[in-house]
Amino acid sequence: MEQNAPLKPDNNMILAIFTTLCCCLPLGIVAIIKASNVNNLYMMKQYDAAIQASADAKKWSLIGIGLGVVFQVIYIIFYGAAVFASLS
Amino acid sequence: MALLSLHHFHNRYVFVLFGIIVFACLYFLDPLQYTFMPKCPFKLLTGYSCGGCGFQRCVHALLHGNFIQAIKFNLFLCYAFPYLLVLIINKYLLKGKTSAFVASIVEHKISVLFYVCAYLSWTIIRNIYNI
Repeated sequence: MEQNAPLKPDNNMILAIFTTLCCCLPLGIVAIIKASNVNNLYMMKQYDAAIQASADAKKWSLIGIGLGVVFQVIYIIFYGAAVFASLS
Repeated sequence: MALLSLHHFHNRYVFVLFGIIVFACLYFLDPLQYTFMPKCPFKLLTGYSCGGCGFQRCVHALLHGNFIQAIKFNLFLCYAFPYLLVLIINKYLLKGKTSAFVASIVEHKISVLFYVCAYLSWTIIRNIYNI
């Protein structure tokens, strides 16, 4: 156990909640659970675990948002193709 | 990815700019009229609405002052928007003891668990009753 406590890691809760609302993927729930663990782990002085949970929360949020964005791009390509096909 | 891993200080402005662009788009474009507006992957794949479905229509109605219409699009946002707003205000505007106090309530395990349960049960209920 370290003598000096490192700074509390950002729990990325905002990003996780944003993921559940805007990207519509259950990955946001995973991110929220991870984010909620950050503060508890930090309080229990498990600093490495807290930093890991913080990174995981960010990772899962970004995967959720990334998948959402990729899906939008695919959707727009398909939609554009359909419009183009109906025009010509 | 690169923007998000920048320092905290820069992140703030990126998020504010992103928020302004999103709100401006949602003010001028009605999601009900244009098919090119972003769609929910969950809804397109499964046919069921997810807990966050309807937030674009909701924000559009809110920005135009139709509160009742906005609530009808997604009831859950009545709870989720203020919660998100408190988290954002607490993180970026409040400092020190006040911030720690608010965080101890808002980021408490029970509040978070309540949010997750509310989100999941709302997802199920809205699909049963077609809200």
